[in-house]
Amino acid sequence: MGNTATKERSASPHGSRNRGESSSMSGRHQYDSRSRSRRDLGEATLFGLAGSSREHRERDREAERAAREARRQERERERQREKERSLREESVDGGFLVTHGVYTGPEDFKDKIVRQLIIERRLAPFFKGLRDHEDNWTDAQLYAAVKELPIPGPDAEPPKEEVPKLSEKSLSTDLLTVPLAPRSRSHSYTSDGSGPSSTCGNILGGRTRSKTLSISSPRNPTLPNTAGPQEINIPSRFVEGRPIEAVLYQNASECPICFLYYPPYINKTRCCDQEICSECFVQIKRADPHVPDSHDSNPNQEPSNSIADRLVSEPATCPFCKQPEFGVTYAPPPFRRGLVYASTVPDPASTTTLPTSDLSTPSGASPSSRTSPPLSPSGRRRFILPPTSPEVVTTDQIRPDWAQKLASARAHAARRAAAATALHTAAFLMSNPAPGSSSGGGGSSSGSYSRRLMRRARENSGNSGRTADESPSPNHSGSRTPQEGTARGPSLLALGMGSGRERERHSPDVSIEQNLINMGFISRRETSRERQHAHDVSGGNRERTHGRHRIADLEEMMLMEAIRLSLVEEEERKKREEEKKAKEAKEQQYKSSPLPGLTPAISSSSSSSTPHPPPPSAALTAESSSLSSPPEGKGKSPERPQPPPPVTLNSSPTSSSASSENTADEHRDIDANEPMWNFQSLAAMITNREGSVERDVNGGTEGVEVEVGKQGVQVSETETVEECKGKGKERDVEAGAA
Amino acid sequence: MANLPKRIIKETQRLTEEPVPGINAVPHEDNLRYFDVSIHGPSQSPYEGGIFRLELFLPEDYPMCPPKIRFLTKIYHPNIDRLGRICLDVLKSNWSPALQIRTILLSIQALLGAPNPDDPLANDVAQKWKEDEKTAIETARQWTRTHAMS
Repeated sequence: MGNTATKERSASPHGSRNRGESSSMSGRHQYDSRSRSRRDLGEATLFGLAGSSREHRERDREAERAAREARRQERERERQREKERSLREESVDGGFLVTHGVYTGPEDFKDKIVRQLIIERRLAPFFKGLRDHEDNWTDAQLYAAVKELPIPGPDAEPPKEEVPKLSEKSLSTDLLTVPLAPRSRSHSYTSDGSGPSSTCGNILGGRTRSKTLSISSPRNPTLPNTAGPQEINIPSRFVEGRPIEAVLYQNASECPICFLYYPPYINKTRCCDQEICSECFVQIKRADPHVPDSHDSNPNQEPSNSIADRLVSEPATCPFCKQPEFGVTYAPPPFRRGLVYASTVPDPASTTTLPTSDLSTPSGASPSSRTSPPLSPSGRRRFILPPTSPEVVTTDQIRPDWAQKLASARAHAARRAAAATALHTAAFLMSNPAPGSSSGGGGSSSGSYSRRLMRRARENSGNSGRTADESPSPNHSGSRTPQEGTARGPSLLALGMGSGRERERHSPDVSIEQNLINMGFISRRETSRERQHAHDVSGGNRERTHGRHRIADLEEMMLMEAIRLSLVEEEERKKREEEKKAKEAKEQQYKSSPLPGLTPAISSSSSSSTPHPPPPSAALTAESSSLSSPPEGKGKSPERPQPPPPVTLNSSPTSSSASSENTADEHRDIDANEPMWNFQSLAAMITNREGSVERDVNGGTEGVEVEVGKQGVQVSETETVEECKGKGKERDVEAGAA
Repeated sequence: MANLPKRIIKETQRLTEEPVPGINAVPHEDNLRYFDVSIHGPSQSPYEGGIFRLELFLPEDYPMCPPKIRFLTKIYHPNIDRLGRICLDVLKSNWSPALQIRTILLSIQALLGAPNPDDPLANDVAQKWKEDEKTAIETARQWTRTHAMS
């Protein structure tokens, strides 16, 4: 299937799914091979041989980016071609199906959905906006203005309809119906309101629109959905002998946003009944996923430190009255010209006789009374239409990918956070030997500290899993571990634990401060091995410290790997879910016209995923704040509204040492029955850790990264909790479908 | 500049045809998206009598994104920082394409009349404003005299 670029763009649900699968598959493949090579490599690293697949990865990424860019450009070109064709050939009631370029930026709305909404007379077509308009213009002047010709004198003759009889006749005989097989009726997807992610695949559906114009009219009116809606073209551009431009623009009104003049038949906002042209409407969208403003932060919401959790995407508000969930309605003119869906015609069997009798007379009583306006076009609506109302078109409907965007923004933030955690812990690993204590003790006390951190993290994830009470295995993030490493694991672990216990005796605060000083190292792109090497040389007793550092390193890497794996899986799960939804929606569509009962189920489940429940991990939050080294001098940054100001170690060493003492005590209690830490392939983790550190150093200032890093642990927890919830959601959807 | 959107042309026209009292905005000749603005300090405020100069720029996406506005005249105000940047919701998240240059400048004028130290941009000023409003207002008056009345 879709091998050519044009077809790929059309992206039937199959196309997109295949693409998704193949990319994820290739991703996994890459991962496998990488981890394999990493294992080899890691072993090399263990024995002190330098090895790096970094360049390879760099190159891969580069190539991927270039390919993506090329695809994007191709899509853009295709869209442009399609636009030009549409402008030439297609129109709806004197307006068009594509934009005229009032706004110059890239168009990110789904043009197929918009097209369909316009043909269904649910959204105003893209009328040409006039830069000037006089109320007393004659037909000829109006016509010229629309055609962008010089405005003639007031007594100029308007163009006459050429042999109107003939055009009527030709209309009736070769009435142009365009079979639109795979393109779905927008009614089915637009009516399910906020289930956008499930439907975007469908609308992309049929690009394989055959351009052959056939005269076939639907013989079997009961199967309009399986056959796809038929487009009937009524090419006449005259209404009662007057050019349609003159009729439309006679009482033109100004769009209050772009200040251009449009026919009085443009969209009205659902809330305050203000006019807005389609060109402006398709520009209005949700803001990109962002951390909520301090102004509108919900006081009831438990403060959560994780950026990924706090990312929100709010529905666009009305530009005029700020009512959320901006939507518009459209009251079409009483005549029909241009494209009409055959199924909106009352009697599809008698299409051939229809145009002369019905469509050429300006009677509002017929074809698409389905989109019955709430009031006559002239009368003002006095009430607010709910966004779910069938005649309302919302901004989310024409950009159904917002949920995906939010999800990927969250995943991205979570990934960054997890990688930053690696960075953060790495900072603890490479501490200097504390002055006054032996080199082994100094180095390892930091190791014990990070061990404690890890353990806390794991305990927490366990707790949150349990409190959410849907998780079958509380220690989820840690328990999914491939088998390879375990054979070698225990012995190393034993060594690590032993030394870990030894270290408990040392007061940690000295080394913490030392660590904070050492944070400076992170910004440099050394490998931790190099750093250790430097420390060891200074510390003497090289062999021993080296070994211990390595063990501590390995532990960190295991943690990191576990987090990373759970994130990867979560992402894949989301992808699968998306696909499933798309498939279901598609099947449903084919089976029948939309079930109204399903609508709330989908919308509620999808909306329930939007506000992330803050993880019940106050303990971790407390600890992480005691650990933190808040970035100084960041001034007013977007993170401004972070509710609990982290305690600076530098400024209040007493409090922090007290709290870490506490955790040390706790640790001793727990240590005995602590479950065995899970091992991924150790070697794999070494390289992986290097990779993640390297990845994130590019990201931003070190202070911020570390700040974020502490939240990484938390992120993975919530992801796990959500995973369970997500499964529940899936079930819901299935139930609804059934 | 060849392709200046109709909206900007019309807004500029209307600003000159029916100017808002106390507010003046003139586009640069070489860049019609860049405006020199002056706002009179509202009466019964510490800024009364001062004429504050601002710069205003309409980005490419305008009116889908807010104009960029900055005070050029030094001003002592809890919501305006040392660089002249303004903390005003309609200039950020609450921007709406239905707002215009005219309305946004009116909002700024109103902000001068009603400082909001609870949502500060200049923290030190806001602190002063909260602790000792009288002195703060006096300082604002003084700054107005020295910087905005020449």
